[in-house]
Amino acid sequence: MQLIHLAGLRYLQRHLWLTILAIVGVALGVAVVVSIDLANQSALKSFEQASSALQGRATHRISAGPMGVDEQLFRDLRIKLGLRTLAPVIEAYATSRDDAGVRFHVFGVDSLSEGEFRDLGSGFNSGDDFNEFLTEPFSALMSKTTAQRRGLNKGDKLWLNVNGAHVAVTIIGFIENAEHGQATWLEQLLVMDIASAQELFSFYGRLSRIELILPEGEERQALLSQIEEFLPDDVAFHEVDRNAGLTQLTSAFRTNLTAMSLLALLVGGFIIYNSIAFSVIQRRSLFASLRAIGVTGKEIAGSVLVEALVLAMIGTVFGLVLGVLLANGLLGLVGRTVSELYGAGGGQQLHVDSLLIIKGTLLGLGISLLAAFLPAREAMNTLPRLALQYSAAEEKTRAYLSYWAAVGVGSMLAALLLILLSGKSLVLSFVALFLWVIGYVLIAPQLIAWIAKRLHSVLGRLFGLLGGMVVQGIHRSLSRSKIALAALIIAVATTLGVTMMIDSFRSAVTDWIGHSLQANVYVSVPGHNKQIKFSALDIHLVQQLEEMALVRTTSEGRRAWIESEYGEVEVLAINVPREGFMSFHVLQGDIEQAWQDFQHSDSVMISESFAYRHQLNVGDGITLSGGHHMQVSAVFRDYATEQGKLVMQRDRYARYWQDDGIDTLGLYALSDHDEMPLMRDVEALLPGHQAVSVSSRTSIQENTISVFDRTFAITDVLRLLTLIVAIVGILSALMALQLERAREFALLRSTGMTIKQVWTLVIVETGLMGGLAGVLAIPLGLSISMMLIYVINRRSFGWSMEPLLDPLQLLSAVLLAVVAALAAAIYPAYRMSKTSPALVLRGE
Amino acid sequence: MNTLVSIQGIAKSYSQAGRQQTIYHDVSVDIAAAQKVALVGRSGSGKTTLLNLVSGIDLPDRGQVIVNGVDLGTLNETQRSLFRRHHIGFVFQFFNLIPTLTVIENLRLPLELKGESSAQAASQALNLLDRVGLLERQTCFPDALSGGEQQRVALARALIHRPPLVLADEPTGNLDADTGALVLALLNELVEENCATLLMVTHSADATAIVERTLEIQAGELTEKPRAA
Repeated sequence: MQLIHLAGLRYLQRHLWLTILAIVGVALGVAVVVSIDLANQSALKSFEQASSALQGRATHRISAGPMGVDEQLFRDLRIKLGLRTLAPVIEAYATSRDDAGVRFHVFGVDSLSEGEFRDLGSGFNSGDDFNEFLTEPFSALMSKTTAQRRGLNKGDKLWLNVNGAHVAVTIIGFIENAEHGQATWLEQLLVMDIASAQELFSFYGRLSRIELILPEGEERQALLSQIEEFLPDDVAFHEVDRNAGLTQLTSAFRTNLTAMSLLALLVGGFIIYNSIAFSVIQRRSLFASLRAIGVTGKEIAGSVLVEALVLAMIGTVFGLVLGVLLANGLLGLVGRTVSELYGAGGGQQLHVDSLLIIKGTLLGLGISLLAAFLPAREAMNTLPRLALQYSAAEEKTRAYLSYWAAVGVGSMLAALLLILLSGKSLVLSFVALFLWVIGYVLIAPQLIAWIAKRLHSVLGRLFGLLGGMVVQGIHRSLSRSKIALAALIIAVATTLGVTMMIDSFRSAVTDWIGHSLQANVYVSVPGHNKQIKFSALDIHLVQQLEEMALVRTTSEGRRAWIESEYGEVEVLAINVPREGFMSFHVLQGDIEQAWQDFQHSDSVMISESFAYRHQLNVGDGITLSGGHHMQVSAVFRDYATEQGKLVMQRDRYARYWQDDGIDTLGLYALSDHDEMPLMRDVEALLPGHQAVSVSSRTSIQENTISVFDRTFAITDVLRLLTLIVAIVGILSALMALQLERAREFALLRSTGMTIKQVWTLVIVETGLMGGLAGVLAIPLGLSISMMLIYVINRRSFGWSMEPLLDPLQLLSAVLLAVVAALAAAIYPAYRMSKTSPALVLRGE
Repeated sequence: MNTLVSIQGIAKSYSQAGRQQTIYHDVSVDIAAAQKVALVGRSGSGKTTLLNLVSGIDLPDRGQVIVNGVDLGTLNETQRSLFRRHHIGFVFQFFNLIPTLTVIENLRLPLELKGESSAQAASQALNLLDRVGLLERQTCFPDALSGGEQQRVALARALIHRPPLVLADEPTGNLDADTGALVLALLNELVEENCATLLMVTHSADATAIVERTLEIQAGELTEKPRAA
């Protein structure tokens, strides 16, 4: 059958432009998926490496509330219980004194216990180094790369800001060995002796946690019972969950990006389908001839699939290369987003994983073959009759329109059903979204046919035969144009839907931050230490700030992570005036009642995402470490974290967890006009005091919105890519159409139509096609936006928001479709106007 | 008489724009092996439909079409394709050469479809191209040939695998009189050399001159037209 394949491949060669566009379609689709995957994976890999490397070989850990674990417990476990494989750990963060925003991950270890747990002690060149590490206060090991970048040599000092105090740490060696290689997670790590770390953070006599390695099997069970019995009530003892951590935290973010990249691939798939379907339609009579001389339907279908495979292979190779290049650009955006959302600093090194390359390859080839399957089947079923006319093909397409529309309605109903029945599943909600989109685009050609039919008579009456021809061109060529229109509808609708969702989200965040921040100036300890709560504002500074002339009242806040029946939960303990409390946007419960409970009883308010994740309602209870049972008094709106948080009264928190420090002090100015003067007064007061960070309400609001905008910058890139893929699709379809209609145009030219009229005909017809696609994209875009807001976002982050409808967005969606279609029409129109009618007619 | 094609009581109708149009009511005819038969009739009378039925491209609503002892109605679509591959050569009015294959590749196609090696197919194709006077055009694509040349290639393609039955649908209908006469002569020669049966749809008086029988389709009936004296 080589000759049949050869004939097919030569067809591709002869229609080079269409072939190139099909290849570009696959390449862009694959590139988007691969680049997103690579950027995601690379950004997360360094965090995961850090997490697993620091987690080491520990099987269990003992932790406690915000005050950490008493180090006496470590000694007792060793001596009284006879445990040998256990290690004390201090883990905290300190900021650089000289580079604002640079944070160091300080890891305090007991060198004598460490060997069994981690391989961090490789930085000692000699026994002297080791002795120095143990005996010299504030000595540390750091990555050689980081040291070189910061111009630090052995023996040099690194200045840190710890809880507002400036402390110098001496670098006595470098961590770098074959196992760690160029790992980016090492870059911000400082390894210290546990005593030095305790001193650095004033965490005397306390530990962040105690880690244990327990043997497998029955021995472990026996030890577990022994340890549980031995431990005091206020500590938590649990198995190390190696799958927990950042990967889980960011799964929603990754799923969202992956879904968007798959959407681009879907549009790419449409282009392949379009190209192959066109090549099949154009060769109907050729296939009929082949069938007449004895070629079977299967052999013809095989030849079509081989053509698709060749296109897919070339497109996939280009797509992979482009994907890696694109990933380099996206890595910065993803890394920054992950860092800002999850508070971890990550490396910017691209890890090209062969599995992702294989996945991209399979997707490219798979989608292409899937897209080619229908045209191949159509080719297979080509009847070997000697003359199958164009009109018959169009008639057949139009006859199928209502059938496809019915399938489309079914698909949309299935999508709705899936949303109702899929609980909280994010993946199933994306499946539902895809079913919805596919269902709609199956209905779209029927709608276009219906609209075009009505427009035909109107334009015919208004502009005569030429006016009618414009619409007739769309109506009569639906078998060729339907896929391109579908691709354009998807791209425009996605752009509209995602833009609306982001605008709604942005508006909700702006509203929320405006409500949440009631104080005018916030003074806080720089950086936050999840593990160590000795970082607190100096009490004398607090007193002086509270007594300032422009201060009307204050609020106090303490962030802590406390063990609960749902794992470690973030708690915000606050003392706020009534007006500050009333600013909470309560979604469930009564704010007045919550205020009473807040002051007088063991109650917490929970954020919306926390309530959603754990299915909690007002009146339910939560048990926190130490057996403190809190009743949920209200559910409030909060977009700060996707894991959610609890808010409780600070005095109660201080009493239960023996922590009376505060991280943040909110200063309410006498009036809003006094905000800037108050800022200046605070800044004037600070020299000679603890080094704290001061922000005005306005600057926090601006910063929050700019973080929001940066988070969604990657979405803009993806939307743009999807749109480019759609324009390629439209261009490919129009090129195919114009090629098909070459004879028709040649005849029109030969009967007296001018070049300008041909241009006008093509441009108006295409613009109208774009306009129709734009109008039809609006309902789809609106429904995508609703699904993103009410289903996808809800299931990803547990957040709700009110949809924001901007009529200008709707108008710009239509304009976008028209412009995209017109941009794609220029080259085909140019070609048609340049082609000699005589040449075309002679060729026929 | 050794019958190659036997048509027994066939009926055929088509649905067009929602209207049922009957082509044949009850048609029967036998064609002997190595016989040359012309099929004439007005446009739309069903001449091409009869070729489609004889080749298995289409199936009758009723009745039987037996070619070379095989009842085509008992074969499925793929089997009928394979039957055509081995037993039938087709010549079309508009040549229908594969535009993306060269002249020699077009000729190799039926042989390679039958399973012959590329080398064998190429050798036979060269011989036949020489025979039809187009050896020097072997590497050209069809669009570089004149109408007469294209039809000569089409004749060669239809006969290269030595099918017992050649079906020709107005083979000279798209050619001028002189070229048509040349093509007809060549068709006659090649069919006779191969001892093949020829069933040819034609409007041309020249074409009917080379055949032994002329069948006329009129109002759904097939009648034997007497030969002119």
